[in-house]
Amino acid sequence: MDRESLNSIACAEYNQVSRRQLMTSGVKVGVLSALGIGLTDYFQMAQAMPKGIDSGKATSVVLLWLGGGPSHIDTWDPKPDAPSEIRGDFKPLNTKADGIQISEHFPMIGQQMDKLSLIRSMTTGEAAHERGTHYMMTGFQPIPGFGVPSFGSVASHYLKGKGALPPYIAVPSPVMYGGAGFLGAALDPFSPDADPNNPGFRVRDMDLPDGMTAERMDRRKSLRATVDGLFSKLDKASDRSKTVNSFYERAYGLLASAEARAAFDNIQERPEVRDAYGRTQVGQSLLLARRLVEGGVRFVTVQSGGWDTHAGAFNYLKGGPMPALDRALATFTNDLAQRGLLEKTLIVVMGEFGRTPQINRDGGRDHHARCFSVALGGGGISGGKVVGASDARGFEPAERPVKPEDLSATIYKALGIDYTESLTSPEGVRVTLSRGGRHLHELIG
Amino acid sequence: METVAQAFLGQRMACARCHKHPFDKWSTDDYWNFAAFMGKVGTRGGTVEGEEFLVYEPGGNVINQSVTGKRGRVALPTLLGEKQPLAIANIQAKPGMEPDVLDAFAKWCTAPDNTFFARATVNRLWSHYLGRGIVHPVDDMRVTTPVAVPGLLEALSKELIESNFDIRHITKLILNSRTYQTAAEPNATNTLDDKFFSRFYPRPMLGQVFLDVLNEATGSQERFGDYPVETKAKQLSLPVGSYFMDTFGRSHREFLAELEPKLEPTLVQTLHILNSAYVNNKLRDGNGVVAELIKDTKLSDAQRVDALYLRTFCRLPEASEKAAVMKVVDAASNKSEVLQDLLWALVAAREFTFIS
Repeated sequence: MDRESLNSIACAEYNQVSRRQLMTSGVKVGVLSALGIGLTDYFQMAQAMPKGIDSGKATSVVLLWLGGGPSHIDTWDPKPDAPSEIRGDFKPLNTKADGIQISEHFPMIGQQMDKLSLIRSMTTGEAAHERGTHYMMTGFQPIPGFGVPSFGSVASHYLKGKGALPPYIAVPSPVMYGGAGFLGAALDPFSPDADPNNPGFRVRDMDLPDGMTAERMDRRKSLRATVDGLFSKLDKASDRSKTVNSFYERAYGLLASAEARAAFDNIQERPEVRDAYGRTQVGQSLLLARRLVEGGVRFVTVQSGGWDTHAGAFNYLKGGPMPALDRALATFTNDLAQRGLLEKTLIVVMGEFGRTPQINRDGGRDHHARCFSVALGGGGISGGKVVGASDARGFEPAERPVKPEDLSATIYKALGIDYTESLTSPEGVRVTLSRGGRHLHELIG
Repeated sequence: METVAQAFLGQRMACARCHKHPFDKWSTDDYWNFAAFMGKVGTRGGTVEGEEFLVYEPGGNVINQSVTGKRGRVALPTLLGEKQPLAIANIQAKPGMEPDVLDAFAKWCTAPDNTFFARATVNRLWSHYLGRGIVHPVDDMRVTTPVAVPGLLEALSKELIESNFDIRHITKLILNSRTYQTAAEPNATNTLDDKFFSRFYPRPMLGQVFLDVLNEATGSQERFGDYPVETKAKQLSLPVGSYFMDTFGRSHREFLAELEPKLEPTLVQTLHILNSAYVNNKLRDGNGVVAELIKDTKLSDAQRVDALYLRTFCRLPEASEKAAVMKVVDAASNKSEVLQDLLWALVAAREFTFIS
């Protein structure tokens, strides 16, 4: 049995759009929390006014994660003048932003390029899915045995949630390394773990079960407090034990707020609006993200997979993922703008890496982390700009290389978080938020 | 191969597939030469959809696909850590068959001088009972992973080998140890410890275990798929759909990155306990413990409360707890409902859901 191509077991998990996750309702719990250990005073600290925050412009982030690593050349950074074995099948298209061309299969996004900007010289050197994802979701290269908190968890730490909704939500399910790491499970994302495009989509367990009343719920709550009193002796040394009780509080809060629960109901939107976003997972997820942002959620990750195009890339991309993304992202961006939410909502669109300029013998592209693209917009980011450039083949940055640390600084800057601040892990390891990165001044203040 | 290495040898090989492993000593050739053991393992579809059989493929081999190293060459089965490929000529083959390299591999795993298998095994056993491995994570025993308690791994590993891989022997050692029996209640000197086992680390149960315990406590019968009625969740060898078990961290054992069950609390878990019809139905089950207690008219409410405590916390309520609970029970007009609510409170309490 000869296994020919590199598109084998290691990448198999990334090739399918998370169908398995959705079908079997597998809950991907907050992911990397490698230590899950004692933060004995953390909860006290968290109640106090966090330092390092000023009145930044953005109050929410929507991070659209293109799992698998989208080809930069076939999306944001076309190379029409490169040889055919590099430029691929797609042609470039002019956009609303002067001087910026993107793939012909993003025509609707093109019309929103006055609001979106591109980094074309993103560089990480991490061409493995897990390592690349870790780097892009946290701003840190993976450190063995150490749980680095993701952007979403850090943002939730600094920005208190508004209202009863959890401050950090992952749609349809959590992105790998999108968890809270050493900050503790309380800052992991909440996730409906279901596709909002499914007709039966409901966040489970939000409605009172048959035979239950609000009075009985109250009685249960108070009985639990009574019977669980003795266990509190162990709280001092068990982070998880404290977290469980904090989740009970949050759950009660969520159940008590009909408004909060309604945020999850895309079904309350007019059908034309749902159609405009597209009746796809990514479309309905971005619509849900908009509703959650309106409901006060601070950080939403929207996961859209299937970008790991090792083989047969072009027909596949233009036949499915790209049109879906085109419609969803363009409508989302425009919708935020129309509702006056764009200034307050930072949009980040990225995957774990780009793809090889050289097309492989299976008509696809393999992993490429030396140079790729990220799209940003809203949240005070200047639109219609390009930061950095790749070389003629899309292989290396030709100018202004940007590392995830700089992206990290840019995200925190937009949120008004001082990224030179540090967080200290329970064992006393201090991590500076953006680890020496600098925000992209071309895009933000 | 990656699965075998991770599950049985505590080695995460994946990084070495394309280039030298960044945190361990394995080269790409090490990776592919080890993978070569699986060269003659093929798969074939069965008659039922999704059915797969493992078959022996006589001509099969594995081609080295590293970016560096011996790319493009047929990989020669080499045991991990060995410099020379396996001397296949020395293996006694069955008549008409090729020499069985997998058999050689299995023998190597359980050889007295094999450092991987015994250590990985005792580490997993330790982690199962104590909540955390001596090396953590349990399946990432690199040269660079710190060992929490020097000497412990080697000592237990030696015990395992010398007992001829008797798991029960190790289990007895662990369960009879002072370390295992140490209390969970922290004191001034051990509150901050989370890796040296100076106290017992309270932790949630595995999803399957929690479901079984919940069913037992509530007197609720649950049938899993087509398994016989008495089958417990932890006896299920093949996965059966269960939102409860998934929510409480059951591993699907599909992806190498997610082999371990997840024991971190989540808001989704809380909502499920708090507000699901599934859990509520266990409490109000017509054949469940509350129904039985109500049916027994000789019992007083106080006795019913005691019974529920014993059933869940395995203890009687303390005086102050009893007083507070009886106040609520006595004030309720519908005894069945108030006892269901009490039972809910007991099974939702951390004293029930945490192992401590």
